[in-house]
Amino acid sequence: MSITMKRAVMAAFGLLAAAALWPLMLALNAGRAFFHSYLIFTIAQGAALGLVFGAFFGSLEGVVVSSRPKALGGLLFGAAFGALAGAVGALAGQLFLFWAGSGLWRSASRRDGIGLAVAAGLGWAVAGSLLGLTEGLRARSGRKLAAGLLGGLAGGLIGGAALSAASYRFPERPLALLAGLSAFGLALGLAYAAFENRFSAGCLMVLNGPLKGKQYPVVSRFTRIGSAPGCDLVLKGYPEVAALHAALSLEGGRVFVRAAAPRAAAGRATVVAETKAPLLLVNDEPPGERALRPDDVLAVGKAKLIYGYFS
Amino acid sequence: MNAYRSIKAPFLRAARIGAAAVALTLLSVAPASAQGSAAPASAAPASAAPASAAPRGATGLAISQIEASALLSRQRTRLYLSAPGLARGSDGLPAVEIWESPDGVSFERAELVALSERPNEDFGISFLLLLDNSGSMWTDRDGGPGEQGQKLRIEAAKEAAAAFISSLGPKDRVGLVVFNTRYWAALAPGSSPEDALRALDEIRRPSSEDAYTELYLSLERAIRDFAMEPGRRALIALSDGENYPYALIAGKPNPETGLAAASPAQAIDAAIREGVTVYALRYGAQKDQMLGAIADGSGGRSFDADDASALASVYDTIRRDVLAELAVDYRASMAPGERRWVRVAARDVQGRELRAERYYYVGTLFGSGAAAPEPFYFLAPLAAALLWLALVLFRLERETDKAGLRLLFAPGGQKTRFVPLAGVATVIGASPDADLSVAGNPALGARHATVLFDQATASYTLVADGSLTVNNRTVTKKKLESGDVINLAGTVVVFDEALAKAARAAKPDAKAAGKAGAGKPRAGSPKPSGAKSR
Repeated sequence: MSITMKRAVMAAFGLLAAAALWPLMLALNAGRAFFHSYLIFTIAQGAALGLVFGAFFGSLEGVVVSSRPKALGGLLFGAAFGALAGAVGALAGQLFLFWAGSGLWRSASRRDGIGLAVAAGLGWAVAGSLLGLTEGLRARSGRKLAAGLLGGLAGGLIGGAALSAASYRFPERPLALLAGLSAFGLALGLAYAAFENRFSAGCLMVLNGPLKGKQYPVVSRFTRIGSAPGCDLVLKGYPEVAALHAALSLEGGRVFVRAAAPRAAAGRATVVAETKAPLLLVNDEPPGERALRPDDVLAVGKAKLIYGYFS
Repeated sequence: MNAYRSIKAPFLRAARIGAAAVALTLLSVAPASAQGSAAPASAAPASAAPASAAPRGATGLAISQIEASALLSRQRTRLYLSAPGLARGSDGLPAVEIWESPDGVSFERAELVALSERPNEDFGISFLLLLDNSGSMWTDRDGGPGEQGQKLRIEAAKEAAAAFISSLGPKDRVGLVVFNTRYWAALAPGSSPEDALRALDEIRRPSSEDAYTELYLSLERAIRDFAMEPGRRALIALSDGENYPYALIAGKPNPETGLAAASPAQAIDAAIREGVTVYALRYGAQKDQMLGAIADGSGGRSFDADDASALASVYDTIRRDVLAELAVDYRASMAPGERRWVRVAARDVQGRELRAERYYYVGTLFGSGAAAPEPFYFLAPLAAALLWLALVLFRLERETDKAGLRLLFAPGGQKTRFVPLAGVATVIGASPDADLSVAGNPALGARHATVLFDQATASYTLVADGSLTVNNRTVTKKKLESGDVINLAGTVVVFDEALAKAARAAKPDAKAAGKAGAGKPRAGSPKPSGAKSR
């Protein structure tokens, strides 16, 4: 899958999440009398938003690389972390409202109007930037965290403003809420995709086999390649690919590839096991201690990947 | 007894306003007497008479201000009650019950959190004086030019205001707005009484153009300006005439507000939204008919006064009334809707039931729609889940099952193309009759390279005529493997071949063993499946 395709899927996921969330939000709103207080109600709203968006965005990576276990794991992690993120965002919005209510917008109508709208938008922005961290946390990648934080913040600000404006301007229209949620999801997905690519240190594209054409941006400090579902780059359906076959490491913006070996102390991978070493070649040669250059061709078992910057 | 008039007067005014949104302070001394009493309304006393005559004084109950600023944070609403002479409970405090309703019909009991007596003494009161400075204020009581030692109305009003300001406590806050055609915020709300006295001195006679009475517009604006003040907000509007808007009467836009107009209903709505109580002070013979209704709707009262001493006593009455108020904090419900009704029920010392009811506004996130989502809305998440599942289950790419060359990158910016390899030799080059013809690359030879198929081994071999690299290594001849990247002078193609076939060729024994293990006995030894591919 190309980066463009991935962006399209990300945007689509934002819209899907919005569609899934919409009636849930309406139901929450209709059942607000069951909540103990506005504060808890607002936190529940935030948690619901985070849960659904987190579940969709968390499963994205797994869907993109066609790995069902990864998609399901990401879904669960995203839902749990997203619910937390949404609740924290909603709480932040309320804290802002209490502060603004005693300083910035002191009159009742401004507090209930613009104050509430801005606080809600801010809450969604905070929730969005935390949601952006989902993939980074799941993959334990600093670059993904940074990309997620910036993408989530940008998407959350734009989407949060749209969502808040829609519900502020048309408070009684269910479709306005749907439009607002869609804008939120779209902004979040697109902004994250934009920043993810910016933060990647190149990309690996699969050249043959079942995953042909799929691109994997190198954004983690450590990327495991193998046929096991736990790997970051899962080469399933390729002959001669070991469960944990090779590893990419990102050092100062440069990418190194090494044969996976039993993890040595302090994470230092040593090239061992000449006897039954799985096939790993860079440009038809065993990988040396040099960084990958664009257009390098990796052979991982029977799988071939090309390294470079693709649009 | 005054009960009849106290009930009826607001209703009559409301009918005249004809606006559904008008709020009424329903005051009753036992509902039966409110409905059934036929006591005639007595004429208002000549001076300093409470015109809307809420039955305060000895007994009575009214909600003068509703404060919802702690609703979203602490789930609390505060009511300021004007309620002298309530029966007390066993704890020594006035016994009140609070009820809340989302629709004004079905009420539910709300939990009382705190009740404090005379809270405004501790926190102070915010007053905003809205003073009419229209042309008529610069006449005497009878409308004359103020000869024969007759005091001008503005002088009487300033005197009364000055006396009132001087009587304020150290914690009270005050602001002054002077209006005619124009609106002049002479002193911002929340200022000290000394500044207010100075501001009063600056009032000057208006020109004839400026001498109109923009009463409703100024009142609405003053309410909004006043809304920022914390605590108890009492706006005292003094006017000696009716609303006399410039735009309507002069027929041209007001220099400040253009063609804007305000109705009493709008002023009441603003007061309710902002939690401001309006006290109306109608001075002189010509009285604005709706000013009293605005006061009632906002939880305040209206008074008539004819001279300076009457004016002074009205100011004093208002301050004493507000000081005597109770504050009740209760736990607000989570009822949906932007508007919320609250009812206070208590008994006076004689055991008669007292009731007051008003509504207020609640800010809500995601609007106030209480309607449950339509069942078909839930098709949306269902569709989203199905689409998600489809994306998970169906792979977006399919593996090739035949060998071929795929164009990955060409200098001319050509799109990805796939050419299946057929026959014994496939020629790649710039020539139009090459099997894979690449245009737009001048460095490419006419027949740059040839892919040969070896039937014996079912393998493909690349033979170079021009210079080329396979996987970034210069070669002249190479046996191709699936995924090999061939760079022919900048035109990059990928050799693609089904991996499954390669796998079968590579591991014939494993496949065969698997089949035997499946429990299908076969005659003779299993044939190596690798042979099939030959």
